[in-house]
Amino acid sequence: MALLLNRKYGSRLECLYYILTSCYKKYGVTKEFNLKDLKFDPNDAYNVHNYCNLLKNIVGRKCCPYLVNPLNLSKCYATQSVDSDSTKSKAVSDIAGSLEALGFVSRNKRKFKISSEGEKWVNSDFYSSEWEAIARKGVLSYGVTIGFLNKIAKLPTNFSYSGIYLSYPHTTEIVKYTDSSGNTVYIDISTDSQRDSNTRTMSRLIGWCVTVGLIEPLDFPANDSPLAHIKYREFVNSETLTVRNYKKTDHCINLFNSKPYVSNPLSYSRLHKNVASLRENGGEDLRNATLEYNNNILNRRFVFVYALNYYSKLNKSLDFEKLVAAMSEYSDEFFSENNDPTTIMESESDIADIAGIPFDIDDYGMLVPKTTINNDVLIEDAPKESIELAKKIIEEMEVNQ
Amino acid sequence: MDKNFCIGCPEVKDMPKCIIQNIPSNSYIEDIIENSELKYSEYFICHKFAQGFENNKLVITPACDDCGLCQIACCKKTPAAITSLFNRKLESVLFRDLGKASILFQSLFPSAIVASEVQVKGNFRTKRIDLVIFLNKTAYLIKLIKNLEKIPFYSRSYGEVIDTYNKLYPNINFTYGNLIPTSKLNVKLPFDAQTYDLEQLFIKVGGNY
Repeated sequence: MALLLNRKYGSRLECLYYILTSCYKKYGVTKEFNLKDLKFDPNDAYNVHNYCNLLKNIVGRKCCPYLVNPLNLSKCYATQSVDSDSTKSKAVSDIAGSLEALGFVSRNKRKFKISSEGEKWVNSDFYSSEWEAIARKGVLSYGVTIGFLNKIAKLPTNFSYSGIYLSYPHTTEIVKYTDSSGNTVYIDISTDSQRDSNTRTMSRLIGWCVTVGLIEPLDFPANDSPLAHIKYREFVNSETLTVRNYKKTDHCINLFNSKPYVSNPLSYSRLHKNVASLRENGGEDLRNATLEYNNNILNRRFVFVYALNYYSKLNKSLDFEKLVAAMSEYSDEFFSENNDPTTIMESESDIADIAGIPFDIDDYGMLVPKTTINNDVLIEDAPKESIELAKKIIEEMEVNQ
Repeated sequence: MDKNFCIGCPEVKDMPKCIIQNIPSNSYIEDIIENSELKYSEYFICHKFAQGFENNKLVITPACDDCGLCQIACCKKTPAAITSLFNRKLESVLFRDLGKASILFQSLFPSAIVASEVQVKGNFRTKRIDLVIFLNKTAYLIKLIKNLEKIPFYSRSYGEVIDTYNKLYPNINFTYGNLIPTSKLNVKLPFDAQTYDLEQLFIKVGGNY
């Protein structure tokens, strides 16, 4: 159930490795653990400070170098600690989400378990090519990474990532909304991500991709190790990523020569942001109006990705016009009044990138998927009705072949 | 900055105040005003971690970028001409790390209670005030802000907090202010804003040259 990662906590793979090592020592691959168990606990003999090689000795005290105040109760920047303020809990969620996106842990509702890939990674030596190969496989299993690599595939070998948008699609969608005082207003609902969220996602992916040798920073002094994660260790572990220009490596350039299988795409509920906690300008009305249409947004994104993957598995392309025509038959499930389905779906088709199933458009206007994604993960938390709806849409498209 | 300002602290057993200080963490404004016991956590003074302590003396390493916070935090500093230690590097440290702002103002006003990221009651969730300086029955609620366009938003938010707490503590004077970089003092704003740079805020709270 991978999510769109947009926090900084899990952006250093080396940190994730030490956290997973600490977790593995406690739970192995058989025992389940929850988010709280990932937090730093000063009373735990297996806490991450026992395995972390990034700790710094500052005036005689061993500290995490990424904390603004390395002496405070957080102790570990990435997970924060059991004594941290509850507002810092998003850190540990991001760490669990990152490990899940990489396929190193699996989630069962609120419980996690280390996967066999996670076990292999923990047991590999940090300075080995095996470590990097397992990490690369993990990074490439995450749908959002595939979306990023697809975006840069269209750029020259040396590229700048400025201006790349890799978040939820924006649809200009004005809906009629009655507020709590009974006033009717028209609101452009919020379907996309904020700019800072996109920046954080990009910076995360850049860090991961450099670590596993998919891209290289230009004009950054590196050592001569043949292993990317050692060569650019200082770069990826720095406080902020300041380099804008990168070079694609062969791993990256050749990625779409065959059709990759993406095992950790976004799942149904992750195809839109958490609208309930929306705090954009526009406030309560924007949140409530968007909430009213949240199911429609999720359904149409889900159906699009589901259909794309269906045809990908058959090595066929998707007829966008037919898809929209079939979806329009069930308009109430997907669209708001007075908004054109084709225009909305043209915008929504950008979801394919972050879902891990980017596509090309051929000369006949057909969408040609460049990957296949793990359908089980996509539908994992989808309501039965939405899955049935997706199947019905495909059936209707097939009938009208 | 004079990197050899330290005259030594032979009486200090652990770490002197120019290297590590205890500052309030996760404080509630009610606790500050009512002088309740606050929770403290240790804090490094130097944002570059460019310090050592040898033979009871501060040693400053080449990584130092001359922000001068350690000199202001020194327990044996000469209070005169303290504002001459204010500089752009120090400003940028404060804007990056509110804990450092807390250390600075606590060092400047030892009899005040100073805390950063102070929790207050909000409409739907707990809000946090960047910096609170409580001195002589006045609570200064300070927003550290570089993007001046956002001042109206915070002014409204801090204003709501002050309205709430004025009712709860009628004998306390609540004052709102924005600490902005000196370089932005001359920016003309299309709205009223209580903006101060470091030196002006120091004077506003009652500091002397």
